[in-house]
Amino acid sequence: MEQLREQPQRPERRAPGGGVPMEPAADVAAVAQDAAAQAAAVPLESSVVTVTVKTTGAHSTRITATPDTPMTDILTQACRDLGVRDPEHYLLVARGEVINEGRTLGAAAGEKVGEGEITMRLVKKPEAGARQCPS
Amino acid sequence: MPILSSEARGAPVARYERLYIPLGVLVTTWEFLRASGHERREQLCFLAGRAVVSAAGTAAQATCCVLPMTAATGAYVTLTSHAQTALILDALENRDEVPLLSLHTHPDGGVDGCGLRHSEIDDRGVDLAPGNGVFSAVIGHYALGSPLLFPRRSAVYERTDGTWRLLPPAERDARVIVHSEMVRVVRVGDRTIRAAEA
Repeated sequence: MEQLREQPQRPERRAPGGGVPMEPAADVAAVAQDAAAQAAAVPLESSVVTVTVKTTGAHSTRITATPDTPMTDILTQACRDLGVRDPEHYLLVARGEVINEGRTLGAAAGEKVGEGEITMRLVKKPEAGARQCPS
Repeated sequence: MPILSSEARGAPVARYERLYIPLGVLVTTWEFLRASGHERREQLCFLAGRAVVSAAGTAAQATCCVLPMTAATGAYVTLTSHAQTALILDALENRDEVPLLSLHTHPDGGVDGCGLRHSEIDDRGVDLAPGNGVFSAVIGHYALGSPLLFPRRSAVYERTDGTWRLLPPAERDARVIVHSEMVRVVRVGDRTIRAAEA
């Protein structure tokens, strides 16, 4: 069968210095996408951590802070935002464990640093009675 | 500065015009309180539910009781851990429920003829979460009496502006309503029917 049209042969282009060959605009976009994907794949230490602190499901605050922020600062800010009047009775709990106030936010977030948002619950230990149990 | 930003979201309902409590939920709650009462120990538990909006305002419908693990003596009761509080609030959030009413028992019916009252510990500690609009009930005599007398024989508080306010008897009875779980239509005479609570 007769070949009606011959595909034009493009000369291969070489980037100066032997880098990525530069082609028309469509190819440049692909290179940009590749570069962005490669950059996203590189694990970077997060410069900020966002923590959502809840009381009930209806009331929460979203705090963004650096990983070296002491948890006591997070607790204080959460109590202020959520209208807690007796912060000395409240603690933060995440994944079933009380967060030690001596830790930093980065340490409390652990492996979740860099994954976006973490969630904590601002709670107290309810009590009632005329006098506190001596034990 | 380590904290870069913070933004509060949502807000609990500031006031419930009425609190509706199904009788079955109340009876289950009462049995829990009474079980400790038989051992001469105080007890603490909670009702949770959902807000109901009507023309009269926002009301609250209790839908479940929360029966926690507690450590108690004859004059003091507390949940066993902060983590338990978080667990309870997680469970309620998963069910789209919020705490509505805290109930705890006292050994007597009130000191010096003053009736049942919150103690200082009750004021600061009896609720599951901060926020206005929630209620707190004090049940006398370790809940060894009948639940059918609730709320008339109990002290009921409402938290307003961060402090607990004792509801006067008429307001208490108008706003805290125990109801049957069913409405049954019955025949009265030959031609008349009426809806009656069980």
